Amino acid sequence: MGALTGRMGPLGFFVKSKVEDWQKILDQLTRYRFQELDPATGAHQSFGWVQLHDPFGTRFEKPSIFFGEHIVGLAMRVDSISVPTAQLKLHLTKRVRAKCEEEGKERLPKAEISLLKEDLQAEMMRRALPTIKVYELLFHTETGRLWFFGKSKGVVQTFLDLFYETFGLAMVPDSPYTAASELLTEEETDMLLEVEQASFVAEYE
Amino acid sequence: MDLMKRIEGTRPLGNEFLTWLLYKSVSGEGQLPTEMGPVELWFEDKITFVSPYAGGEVNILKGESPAQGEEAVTAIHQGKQIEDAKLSINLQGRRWDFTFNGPKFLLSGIKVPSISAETEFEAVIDRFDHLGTLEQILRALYHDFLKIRLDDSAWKAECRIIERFFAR
Repeated sequence: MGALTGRMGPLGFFVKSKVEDWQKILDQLTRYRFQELDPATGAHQSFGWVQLHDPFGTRFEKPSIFFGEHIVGLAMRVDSISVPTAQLKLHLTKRVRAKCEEEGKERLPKAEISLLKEDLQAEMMRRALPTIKVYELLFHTETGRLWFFGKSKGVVQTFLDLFYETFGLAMVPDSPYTAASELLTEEETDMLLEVEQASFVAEYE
Repeated sequence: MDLMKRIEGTRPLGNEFLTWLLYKSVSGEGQLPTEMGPVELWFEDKITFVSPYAGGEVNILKGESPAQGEEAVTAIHQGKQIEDAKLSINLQGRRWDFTFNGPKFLLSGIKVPSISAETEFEAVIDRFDHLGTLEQILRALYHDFLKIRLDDSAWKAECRIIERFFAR
């Protein structure tokens, strides 16, 4: 359900102000660009901006983010590493057994097993390849219309935070109310808050 | 009142809009006048009705033309309104297929008209334009709905017409 191919399933937002200094935004995109996960830090996830057509492209210049005069296209890349619990358990059992044999013990204290588990998890994470997910964004800089091509709650929140940090602009999500506020006067929009829920059965005579 | 309360408090307008669209589509044989010119709009093979009351019953109608079927009429007679539906729109020979959730005002599964772009750059612009046109059509229809919805006597008359239409 992406922006570039196939069927689309975007979330719509209205950005409430305009960008005044694009050079500053380009600098901010570079600041919040995607950076590879460093397993040595113990981090399980990394996210940041990449170019719309290249999940490995993190150089941001006007020609690489503008599509036509007013459409900005970007993508948020999220990499995550996880160690499958079942595999971790199997390898841990093997290590505990080996350690017991080496030390001539029948069992290890809980604290020691916990340390072995931590070491093993770090080791497996260093060897694992991260899962890469890319969520596109299309933004019309004149109308303020923004489409984000991700829907899970966590991803949307990450995007909202990242967009705000980068662009410094607030936005409101699509809803019957926000769509109406784009079409009606403020007074008319306020009137919508007072209307009674409609009924299409004969009870209003 | 803060924005989130306004948003949450007016979500039923999305159900009303979709239910009104069903009436407009069925009664007008799919032809709807808009400020962008006439559009064809028809309900496809899935419509979800919900009762507006708390814990309300949900009816998912599937199959060929459920909008024209007895079950849709029954659901409306039971006071149910549409939560989401698969729709198709045709404007000047260009066709969009999509699912629309009224209370969330959310589009999904959008199939846009075919594009003839030769580069990735052009494809982005074309797809954005198609998305924008679909949105413009829906907003034009929503605007028509809101104009009637905010006029108390016009809306009561519209509700009566809809009720009589589905009681036929």
